[in-house]
Amino acid sequence: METKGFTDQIDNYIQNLRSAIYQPIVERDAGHAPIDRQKAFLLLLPLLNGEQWTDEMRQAALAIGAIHTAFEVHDQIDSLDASSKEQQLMVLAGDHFSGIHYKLLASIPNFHLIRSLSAAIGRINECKTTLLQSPPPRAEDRLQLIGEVEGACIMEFYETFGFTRYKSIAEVLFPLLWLIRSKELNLQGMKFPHIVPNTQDTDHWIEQLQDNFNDRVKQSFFLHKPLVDQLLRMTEQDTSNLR
Amino acid sequence: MEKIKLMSLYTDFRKDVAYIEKELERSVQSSSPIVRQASLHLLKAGGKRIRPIFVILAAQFGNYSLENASKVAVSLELIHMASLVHDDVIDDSDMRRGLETVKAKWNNRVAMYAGDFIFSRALTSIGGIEKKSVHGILAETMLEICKGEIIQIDFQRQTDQSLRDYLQRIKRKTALLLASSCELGALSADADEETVRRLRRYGYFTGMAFQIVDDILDITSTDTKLGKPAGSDLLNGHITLPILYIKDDEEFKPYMQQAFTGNMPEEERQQMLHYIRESSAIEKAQHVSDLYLAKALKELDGLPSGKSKKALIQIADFIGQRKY
Repeated sequence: METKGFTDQIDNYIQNLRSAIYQPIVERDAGHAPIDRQKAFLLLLPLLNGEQWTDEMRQAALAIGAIHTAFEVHDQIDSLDASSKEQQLMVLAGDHFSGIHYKLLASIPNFHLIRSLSAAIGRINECKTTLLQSPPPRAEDRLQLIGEVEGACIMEFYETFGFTRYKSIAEVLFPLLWLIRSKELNLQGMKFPHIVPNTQDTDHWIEQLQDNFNDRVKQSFFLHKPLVDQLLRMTEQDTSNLR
Repeated sequence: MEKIKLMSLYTDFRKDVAYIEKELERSVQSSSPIVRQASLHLLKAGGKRIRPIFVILAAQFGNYSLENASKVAVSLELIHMASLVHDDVIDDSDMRRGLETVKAKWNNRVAMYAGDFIFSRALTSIGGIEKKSVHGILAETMLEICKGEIIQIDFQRQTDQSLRDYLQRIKRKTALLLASSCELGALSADADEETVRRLRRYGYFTGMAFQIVDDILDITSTDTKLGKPAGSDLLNGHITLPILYIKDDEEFKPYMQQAFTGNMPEEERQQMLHYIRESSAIEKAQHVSDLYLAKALKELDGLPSGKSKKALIQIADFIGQRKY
């Protein structure tokens, strides 16, 4: 579980994000936008570790939350039939959240981040299309694409604001969390909405990434102890259910 | 044919338009073959390129730089393209401009990703202009367009709509992006404030007329010319200006109800189209479009004469008379 301090900061961020992306008709007819708490945690990792957090970073972090939410919503569009009102609104909700992401960046304004994030968004959509239509046969390649899909925007954020030392943790954690979540959803018999890889060797990859991740966390001496504990719990708790 | 006629209005700027066309193609290059094919598929299908043309013409009223105008023009056209790809998912459309839509050729999800990819390229292009006002205007415009579409879905198949509702909707759907094309073109060239304001208003009024004519053509044109079935707006549950003028006609109501089911026999669709064409609804809608065009032309009065102003006048005239 998250410690109280982390929980409060993440809750606060999510509340601000919800307020930034609010659209009354979408909210009424398509419900609450799905906000990924784990991604929020990783985005805020430097803040939770006590790094200086400026207004510009706060605004940019909301922009990234908005674009992540846009991705989440667009991933839920049915490949064959999106004719219901709810699906139609979800297409537009995603576009609205994308627009909010741009508005937030424009209001700073951070032109560098506008350019680097748009490049990342482009790559993410290329990767998602590849995973959907012609997934590479090798698991390593699929996981690399998944890492890009899940983490490219946060990596740009780290890069832009001088938090590059957090990248080595995040780049392993993104595919690891994705695999864990994917497997959990399958276990519960839920429809996993997109890009499920060939799962034959999922357990093997989870273990391998878990070991790699544990090593990297332990070598990250700049991380405060509560954050290290939190990061380890994030994955160990979930994987223990699977083994 | 009509596209050739439109192009003949800006022969003086043909080189610049050709440069932007190349930039558009370059912008959607992708490492993913499917994304590249999907993006080029729509790009190659053509379109009037009215947004890039407005950017170029508006930028002529300041210190014109093709490089800057191109960044704005490419961005606006790509935003328009991305919205079309997503609109086809929403409307479940299989044909656009006589070609299969991205969602029909691949599937809805590919269309979502292709649209999002094209949108990202739009931001990459405009990101090259480091002016806060440019980004603020474009971001607001994008959000308003989206809001308009959300409201359109909310209003789908609702017959108790007013003229004001319709005008608000087409403002967001079309006029704002054309207004922004003119405004951002002028801003990218550092044109003076009054010129920027006049050009924005010209783009706005022209855009209103453009959409009304589009809505008229959806009824008066042929399936072949439209590249989709005539009457598609009504079949998708959208009340346009001609329909607003006829929706309370007792003989028309059964047609409208049937169209709203989305399952209208071909013979009945033809009868419905004939009924609207023969009514006064088309003429009334055309009159509203003409009023907007007159307002657009009035805005140009205060601008210096030259090739650019002449082209803007001719484009407004073309929009009023266009047949596709």
